[in-house]
Amino acid sequence: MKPLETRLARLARKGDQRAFAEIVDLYKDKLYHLAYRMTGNRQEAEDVVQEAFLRVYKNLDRYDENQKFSTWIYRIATNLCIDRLRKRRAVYSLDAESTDHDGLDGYSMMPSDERTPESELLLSETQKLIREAIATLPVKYKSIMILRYLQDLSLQEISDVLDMPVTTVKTRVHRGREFLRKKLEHKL
Amino acid sequence: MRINSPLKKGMADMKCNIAVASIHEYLDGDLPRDEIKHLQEHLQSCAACSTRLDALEKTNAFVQSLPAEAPPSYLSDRIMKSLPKSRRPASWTS
Repeated sequence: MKPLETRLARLARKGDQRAFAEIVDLYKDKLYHLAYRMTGNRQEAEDVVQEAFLRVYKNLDRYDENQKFSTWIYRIATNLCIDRLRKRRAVYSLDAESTDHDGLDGYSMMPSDERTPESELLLSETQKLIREAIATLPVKYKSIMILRYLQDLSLQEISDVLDMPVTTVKTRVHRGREFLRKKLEHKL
Repeated sequence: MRINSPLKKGMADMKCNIAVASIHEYLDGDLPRDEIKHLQEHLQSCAACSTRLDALEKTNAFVQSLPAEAPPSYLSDRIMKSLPKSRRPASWTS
């Protein structure tokens, strides 16, 4: 028997909106968490999640059932996040020079939202530091570290989601880890 | 005079740059057992690499412990309402 998501996707493809609502229910929290950590902004995270589901819906015909549904939906959402961060970077880096070293200079210049709901007042200092450290990760490491450590994807799954060799994923996980270690080492 | 060339310390001795690469493989869960032994030997004699592993393990644990951010309750509705009315406008005419 096919996994639940695949069956739901088939039903949704035939126009069953309730089946699609179930897909939304299964993935909205994960995608929101991903998008919020990627963009650092609630409004943008909501927009990304909405856009991701819309794309999924419109492209159900193109979903390849040999692939895990989660891989497909993560790919769509991650790419939307990366696009946003790239655009943001383009806007902020008007002062030329940053000819895409494609790496450590590319901080994603986040206009993080300053809203502080009550729950956040309770957030420990430690958590704030970790969030800040993740926020300053360059985009290409950020997506990988979030998929690895906040979404708990394996290196192979990340390689499928981002369509890049596992060896590249590995190298980036290693660098991302070192980056975070340096950021946090003397603070925690 | 290079009396203390690393080679003279014997086969078990590992250079720190190699140890760091192994540390990451280890954290990925991909370091073969015999190489883990090798790494352990190095860590016993190298405070810097040992501290590094501790710091990386701590970093991983901290990042993993970050609680998930919950989406607002209206999000599902907003998503469902944003979908086109029919996936196949042609299908109900046929």
